[in-house]
Amino acid sequence: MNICLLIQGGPIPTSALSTALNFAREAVSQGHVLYRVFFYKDAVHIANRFNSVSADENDLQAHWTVLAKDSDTDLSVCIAAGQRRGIVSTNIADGFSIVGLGQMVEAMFESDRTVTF
Amino acid sequence: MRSVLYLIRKFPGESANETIDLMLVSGVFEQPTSVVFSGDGVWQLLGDGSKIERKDTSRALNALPMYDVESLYVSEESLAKRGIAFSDIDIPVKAVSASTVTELLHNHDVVIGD
Repeated sequence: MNICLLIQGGPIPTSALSTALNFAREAVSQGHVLYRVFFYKDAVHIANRFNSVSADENDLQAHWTVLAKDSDTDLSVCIAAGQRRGIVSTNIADGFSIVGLGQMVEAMFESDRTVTF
Repeated sequence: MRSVLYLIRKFPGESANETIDLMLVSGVFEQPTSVVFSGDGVWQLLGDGSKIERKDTSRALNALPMYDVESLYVSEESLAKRGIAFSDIDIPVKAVSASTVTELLHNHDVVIGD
């Protein structure tokens, strides 16, 4: 099954990004295809390459990029939501790409399921 | 083509504004799109946010029919609980019961909250 994830909750105030990560890992392990992971609203903060995590904390950004690499998944950051929050091409972390909202709508068409977090 | 329902439940603010941006793009792509205002999301239908340093979303909401988004609904229970009269709303929405909202949730392929 093709699955698309829309993540809207921020990495610090909500658990959206870790819950979505667990969901994504399980979906991939069951043989589903992650068509696209779309980071919108405060979730775009995950893509800031200046995010610095202490050694005893969970590096969510690294977990996402590893998952994306292993499963050949697009990590798409909304350009408009990113610009509002200072996540732009100069500070985007490796493994993430900046795209327009149309990519989210297209992903809804192409996926069998759209799951939001 | 997958139908999508946007569910606006939060107080007006940046979160709802960005959901409105997404629904406009859905409309541009001619995706069958419906919008339900429920809970505190019904406040989105009132007043001009720019008077209190917020974005005025009423223009975007009024423009939705031009983007082929013509199915706008508001929960009548949510309005009643907040003492809002349907006549105070000047955005083209239809007041519906909670059971109709449930039906709408079942009838769409994708549901996206704000």
